[in-house]
Amino acid sequence: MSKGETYLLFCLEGEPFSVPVQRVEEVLEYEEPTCIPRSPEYLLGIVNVRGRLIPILDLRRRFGLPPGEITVNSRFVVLNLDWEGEAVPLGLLVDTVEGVIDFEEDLITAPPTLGKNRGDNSFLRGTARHNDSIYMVLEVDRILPGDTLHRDFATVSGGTQ
Amino acid sequence: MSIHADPLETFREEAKEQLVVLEESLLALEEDPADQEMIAAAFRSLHTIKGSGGMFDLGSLVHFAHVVESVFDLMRNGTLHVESRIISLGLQARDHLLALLEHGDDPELQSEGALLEQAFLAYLPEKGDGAASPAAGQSAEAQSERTWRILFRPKPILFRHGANPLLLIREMEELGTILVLGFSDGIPELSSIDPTECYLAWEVLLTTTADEQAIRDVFMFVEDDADLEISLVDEVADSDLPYKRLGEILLERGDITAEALEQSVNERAFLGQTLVEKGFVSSERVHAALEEQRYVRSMRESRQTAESSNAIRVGTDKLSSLVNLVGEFVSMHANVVFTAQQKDDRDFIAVGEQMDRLIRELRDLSIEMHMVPVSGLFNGYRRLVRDLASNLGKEVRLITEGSETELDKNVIDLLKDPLMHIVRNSVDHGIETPEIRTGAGKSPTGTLKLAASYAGAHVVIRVSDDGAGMNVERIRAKAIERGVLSAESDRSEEEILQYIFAPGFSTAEQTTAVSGRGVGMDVVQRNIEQLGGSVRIASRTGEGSTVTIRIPLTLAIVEGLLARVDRNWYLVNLSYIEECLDFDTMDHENRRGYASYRGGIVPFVDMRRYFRIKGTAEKNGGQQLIVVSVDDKRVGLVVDEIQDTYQSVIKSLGRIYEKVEGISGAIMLGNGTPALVLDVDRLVRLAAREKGHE
Repeated sequence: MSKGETYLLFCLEGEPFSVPVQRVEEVLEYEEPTCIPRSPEYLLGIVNVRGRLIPILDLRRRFGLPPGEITVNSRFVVLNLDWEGEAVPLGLLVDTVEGVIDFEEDLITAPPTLGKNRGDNSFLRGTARHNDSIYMVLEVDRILPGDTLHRDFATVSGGTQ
Repeated sequence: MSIHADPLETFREEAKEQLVVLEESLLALEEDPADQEMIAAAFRSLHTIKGSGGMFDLGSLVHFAHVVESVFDLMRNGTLHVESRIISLGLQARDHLLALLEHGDDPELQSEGALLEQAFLAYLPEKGDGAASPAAGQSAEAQSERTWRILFRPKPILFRHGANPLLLIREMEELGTILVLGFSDGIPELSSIDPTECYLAWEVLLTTTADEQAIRDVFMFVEDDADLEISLVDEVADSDLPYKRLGEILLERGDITAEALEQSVNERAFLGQTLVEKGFVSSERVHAALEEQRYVRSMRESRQTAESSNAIRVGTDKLSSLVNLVGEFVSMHANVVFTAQQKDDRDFIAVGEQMDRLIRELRDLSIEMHMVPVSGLFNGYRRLVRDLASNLGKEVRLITEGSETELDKNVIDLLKDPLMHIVRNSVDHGIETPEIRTGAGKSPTGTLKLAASYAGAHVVIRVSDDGAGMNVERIRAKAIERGVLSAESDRSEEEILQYIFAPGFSTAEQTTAVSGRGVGMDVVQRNIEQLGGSVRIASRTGEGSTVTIRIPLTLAIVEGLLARVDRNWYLVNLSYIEECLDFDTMDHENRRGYASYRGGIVPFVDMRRYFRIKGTAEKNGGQQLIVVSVDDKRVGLVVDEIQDTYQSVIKSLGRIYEKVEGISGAIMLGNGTPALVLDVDRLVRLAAREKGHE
């Protein structure tokens, strides 16, 4: 076996996703975040993790999936993002966390190019095949691009008032 | 975290402080070239850098500092006059030293250093081969203090040769600290006294950096008429040992013999007393030896106090951690009190209350330790103003006021850049050239004033100039052109001036290399708001402008009122609050957002509406109106409920929530859930702007 990397597996809407385990700080049980008004709706607010504030992103809404229900399996996957040159923590709300798995680097294939109007999939690094299953591998630093976030904040703040 | 700081790092830090002093002294000298104290201060800074640099094998830095120092030494002793070229060179040398400290000895710096060095060497008189090398100079200067015992026993004929022992003693006094003991045991019976003869002897203890030869020189003219014994009694090197015992001192001075000591030490009584009783030595001699003992001890003590003094240096990172830990502790305490109340444990609650007092003291103390005067910040701009003014052909005098006002060190660090921008703008766009000023009937020299003062839990910093002032019409035109202001708007001049803080707003007709293209002021405002502060500008055409910055004293811990809006708790900083009123019983007009208040009206912000919360407040709960004020503008905030006051550390929401409006941070409640801190400043400004439209 050549060099492989370990990935954390989780599910959204029954679909398997993965992120490099190196970028994962910890996995937390769900607790209700303190919501922050006047923010994009995919940002759920903040939680206090041992005195540190972690912003929470609803990955379903970010990916345009229908909102899910909070269950006993709901988890926050806390990632360490390289966000516009700064290390920033971000918790992803996911349906379930499945465990870890090793992927061979060369088994990850680039994501399909979508049609022009099919939206942006730059947050996807590719897909990995393992035991006849296909896993989506996320490009961690592209999950929440700064320009997208700033635009969405501007949209929320504009309008009324 | 390492406990032992890297000595080289400590040296760098201290050397940088010395460079700040150097720069300040040079700038002061520029204003008053005759200021001897400033010449001496500049010399001392250079000397200190050279001295401590020598300990770290920083050859080129030491060498360079030595050359510059030599020139300042000439000015110090009056051989060389202070002239503006030397001051300019001095400032360049300061920059070069800083570069050497920061980048070490890279080749580019070497050539630059060599040029500067030549310029300085030109001021020094030619020297032969024996030119003082920095190392040699240093060893002589770094000679530490030693204590000498000088026995001066004049021969009776001393007076006849016109010598005066008092003058000799005074001369020794000039060498250092002295203790003089006189011996009268040589005085004969009254009947046989010859008033022209000298019967007295003296012992002098002298603590000095001078060497033996220098002491001997004092007695140069009386050497033949007196017995002189000079011996070293105490050196710094052995100052950790207890000083000699009485017997040893007497023996060393030849006052008693070893046998006499031997015979007396075994007796139980005090040695001195025994020796005197046995007639081995006069009481005067014992007294002198005891004096010597006491003197050396006190010299050692004062040396140690000088070394340790009553202040200690602590790295600011450690102080910051302390402040943060205390902050965490405050939050943790809230958690304890919360738990105690939940369990309804009276003892526990009582302990919690006692802790509360201690924690408040601890909090105040740790914040106080982290406060520094703004003088350092203010003086840091002197050079900038000087260089800028001379580049622009302007004459600008910088004056400061209230520079003893203290602020959290973190706040000061974060204020450095925004304030620099404002200062630059004032010199560049505000103050006119001497010709224009004279034409307008003003003094050719413009004045830029930096003033700081306390205002409750805030510090107000004002940057004012007596320049041309802002052109309101031009700002209005620009705002209309950019579509941020409608042409029909009848905003006050003051409101219009604030548009200079809008992004990409600059009215300077020509952009200059100094102030750039108007990318500054919006960044300035943003930075200051991130500190929880605000910035305003006032201006009068032809008379000048004033930028007023208001910032909290500390970022660490705030005290505020907890208010609920829907399901969230929010903290409203106490320093803004005027009063809280029962909103439901007040006369208010919801659609236009005014409530009657103290015989007038006050605009209010319905926080539910502002936060886009659907639905209305529960009917039974009485809504509250928190009246807050910023810069004399009063606004009410409508909330669902208010609770107790609460003190806590403010935490940043982080980069992700950087752009959120109306919230400036978060705190942790007793039960561990975060609550949000309202950005009162922004809300007030927003409300004022909204009402301005009507």
